[in-house]
Amino acid sequence: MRGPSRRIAQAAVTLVGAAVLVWSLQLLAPGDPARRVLVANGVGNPTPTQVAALRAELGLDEPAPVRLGRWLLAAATGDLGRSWRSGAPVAAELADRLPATLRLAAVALALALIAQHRRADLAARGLVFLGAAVPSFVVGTLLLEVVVVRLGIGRVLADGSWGGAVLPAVPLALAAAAVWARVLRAAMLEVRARRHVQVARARGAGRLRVLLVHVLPGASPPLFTAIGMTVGSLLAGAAVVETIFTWPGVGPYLVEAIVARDVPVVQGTVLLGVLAHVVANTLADLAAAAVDPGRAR
Amino acid sequence: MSRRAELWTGAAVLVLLAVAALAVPLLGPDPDATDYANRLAAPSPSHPLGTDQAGRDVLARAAAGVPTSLGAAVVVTAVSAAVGLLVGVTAAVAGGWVDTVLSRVVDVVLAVPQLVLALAVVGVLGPGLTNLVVAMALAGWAPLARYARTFAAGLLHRPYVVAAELAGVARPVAALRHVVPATAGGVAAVATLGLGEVVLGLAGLSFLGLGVAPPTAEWGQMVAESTTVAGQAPWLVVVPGALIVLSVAGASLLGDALAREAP
Amino acid sequence: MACRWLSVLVVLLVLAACGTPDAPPREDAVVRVVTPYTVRSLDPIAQGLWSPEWGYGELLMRATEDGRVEPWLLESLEPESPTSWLLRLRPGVRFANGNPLTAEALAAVLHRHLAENALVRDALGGGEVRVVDERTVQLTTPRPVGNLPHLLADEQGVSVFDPTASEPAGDIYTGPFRVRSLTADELVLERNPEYWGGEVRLDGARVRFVPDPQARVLAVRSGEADIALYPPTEALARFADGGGPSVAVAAQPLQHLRAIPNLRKAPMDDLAVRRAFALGVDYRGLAEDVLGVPYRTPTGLFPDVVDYALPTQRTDPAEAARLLDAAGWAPGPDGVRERDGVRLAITVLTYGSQPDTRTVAVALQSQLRPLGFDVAIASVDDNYAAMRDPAGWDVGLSFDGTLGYTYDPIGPLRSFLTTGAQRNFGGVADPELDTLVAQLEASPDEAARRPLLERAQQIIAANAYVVIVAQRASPAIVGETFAGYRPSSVLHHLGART
Repeated sequence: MRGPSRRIAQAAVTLVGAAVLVWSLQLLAPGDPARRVLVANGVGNPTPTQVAALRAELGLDEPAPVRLGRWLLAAATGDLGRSWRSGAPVAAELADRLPATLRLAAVALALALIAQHRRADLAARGLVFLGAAVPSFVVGTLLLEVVVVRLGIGRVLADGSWGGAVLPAVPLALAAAAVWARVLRAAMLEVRARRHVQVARARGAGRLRVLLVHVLPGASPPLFTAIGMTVGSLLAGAAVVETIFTWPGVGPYLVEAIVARDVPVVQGTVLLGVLAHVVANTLADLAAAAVDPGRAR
Repeated sequence: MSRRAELWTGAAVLVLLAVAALAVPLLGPDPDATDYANRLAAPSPSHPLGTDQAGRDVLARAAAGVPTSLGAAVVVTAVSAAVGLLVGVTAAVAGGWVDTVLSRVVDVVLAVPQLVLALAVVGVLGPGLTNLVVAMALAGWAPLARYARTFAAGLLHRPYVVAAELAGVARPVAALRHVVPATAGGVAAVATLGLGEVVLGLAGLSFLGLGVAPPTAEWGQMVAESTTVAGQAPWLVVVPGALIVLSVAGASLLGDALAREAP
Repeated sequence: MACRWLSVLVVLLVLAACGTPDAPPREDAVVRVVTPYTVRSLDPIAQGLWSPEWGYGELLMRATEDGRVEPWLLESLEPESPTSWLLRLRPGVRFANGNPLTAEALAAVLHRHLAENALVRDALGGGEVRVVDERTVQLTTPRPVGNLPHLLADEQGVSVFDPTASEPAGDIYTGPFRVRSLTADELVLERNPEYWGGEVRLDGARVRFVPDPQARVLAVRSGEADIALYPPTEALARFADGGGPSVAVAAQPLQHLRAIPNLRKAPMDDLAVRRAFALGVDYRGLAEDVLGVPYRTPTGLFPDVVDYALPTQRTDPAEAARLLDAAGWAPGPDGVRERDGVRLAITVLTYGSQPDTRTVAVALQSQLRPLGFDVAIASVDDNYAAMRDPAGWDVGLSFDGTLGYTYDPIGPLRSFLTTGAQRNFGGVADPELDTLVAQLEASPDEAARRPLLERAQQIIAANAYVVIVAQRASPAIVGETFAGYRPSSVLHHLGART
């Protein structure tokens, strides 16, 4: 089929472009990165010779396009460089922490989906609206204090297990659930008003059949798109939530790297987030097209 | 909610916050005035929202946070809207290879989730309120550019624009006179819708310590400072949190109403 | 409708409860500690500092809780001359893997440190090690090193390990515990049955690395940990009353918050301004009202535990005002002093890894305002990097003890206050002070050092080269089961007697 393969090819090109963008950001950085690395590794007052030696070792004196090309090629094979703080390969450190974040994301997505299966009434809509407005760190902090410490449910020191993911997933799920509820409701209203649905109802088709066969397929595409977009924002949301709950995931790793200005880690982690986002969006688009091919784009 | 009710409620909330930001400093205590004997005091007549770890009045600090938290969000939104409008209209009006190039650039930027891009920019520039604003503006212009392009492209086929061209008016002039003002209106509406998200994003990044330096008041950072004493003084978490919710809700309502009105 | 909500809520709570930890079995005496610093590896040179902290390794000398330094793995340490020392080992000490700690092993360890450990190289560089007999080693240094006993008690100095071991492992050290496992999140220790020092009270320990300060406090409150180290100061107040977890504080305040004036820039290059600053700070107010437990009022450069400490700091705003007036700083229309059109405006640096610097800076702002100082606060992530740049700051706050954790006054004096030294951020260049420090390094005799140390303190106070605005003894939050635990003043968190 020409449609899907074209879409995938476009996604691949966009991914490479985004990778270039992410890499190029470091050209904005003030100061000398080699000096930063030396200071971070305990060399109090780096001498100019030490700085020059490290610059040569890290290849910082080569022209930017050469360095970019090198990084891209390496990233394509899974080599994201080495952390300036620990010296360990970024890819390995990410692989260590990724499962915990994935578990958290899966539970959050599941919770948000569960939250959709409710008939909308005023209270539910109000709660959902609020869910979009309350910052995740406020929900997280209050949850920790009230549920974990005072009520004794769940644990403070997270271990990355599925059970432990429920509480941290709640603030993440709240924001996503609110967006999805709004999208789904609008889409369902619009589809219900369409001709073929009304005709089916008039013909006496059962409520459930109408829902499953006529309404949901029409309403799903915007929902899929919304889910695709949410996956991308989950990484940023995880940064906050995982920090609060000491969840051993990618979030705190990224935040610590930002504070320490550990550029390879920031680049590698952001690239991972971009990859997830592009893949999720492409899958969502493909799914939307498959479910309702008649939909105008 | 009817469009009218939304518009008025949203605007009212935001105006209320702005008024509080102006009035409280005149009527209340100095937000930076410390009083170590009176730390973590519960709400009382002299301190309607209690005091924080340094004895500062929470109401005064919360009001002082309006220009920082809400004001920064407005700046981010305005800059993103301006850049997005410029890029989108240029792409639509110029057409051809200019359009292709600009659209690809927008696609690439959109491929990076907004907050993640902001985090990446802060990751290279370093923490600080200015850097945060720059980062969020860099992350926020692309969706608005895409919207502006679609909107403007649609306008270019409207009868009055085509008529102007047929009458011999050059394309750029027609664009300036007809397309830009209408698109600007649409972009402003969509941007206002996103204002709430910007407030949340700024607060979240400040919570992580990547924003303002203390003792400047900023709601996200006030929550971050208070997590260790949340058990003793929950109002220190709830008050800034509630203000964030108010701002986001007000902006969402207003944006919703404006968007519904846009053609 | 309501029942659907309820059922969803119940399901969620059940799922969350699945993640609740079981109560730990109480037959084994295993202490669970949470700490922010991660032990990255068991490498004895790169990460050797953790071994005496967590009790799985030991040093040649040890700092005690009452201000002295005594032999630990050594039986004795004797100076033959200012540049030559005899190190005699205790008999019968074995590494956890069974190998004995002999003089040859010690010589090999010293050679490794001289080659690879930057701190040891700087202090003893060019030194020579000679085995005298099976328990004694002679160390000769090119320059006199008067504070060698303190150097050998430094956790970042000579960590003792089995030099024949080919790679880092948990059993290459001596110590009451040995490492059972080390992961990115946790260090698990078990009792070392080969320990030379007699009975070890604990069966083991689990040390969890938790960088988030709130999480550490909550872990003890919820019973998931027994001891929380490095708790945030503002969380300590609620544990004052009885019942539940409590706050325990170490005996000696060895953590000092320095206010380092930037002598390379106005207005701190003016002696009158520096002295006025030193007199204008309300030290007692900072310690008792602003910061609280575990801080104590600092009276001078050194804490009282050492007998040569002089009380050189006091609060006297009237005198401060007089000094400023005499120097020509007259109060302007808004209360801020001015001289030749320049305002008395100073920028105080705080840094993120020590949130108390922020609290102190805010308090300094209000304390110094009546004197006519306009204090601005700047927050950086790396205060050393910020202070190396002579522009952009006037007073740098930094938690750097004046005695280190080994009661050694000479090392910090050399490193912070001698001309051109590595951490002399303020730009101090005082020839008399430099000479004093050189003389101190050359004299191993405690009695000879005392008048030199007193003179040094007087010079520093008279010129206000540095001001100690706060001093703190290490605090910890302890749960009820380990309520008797007292944190170590010298960072030896776990030992045979814990």
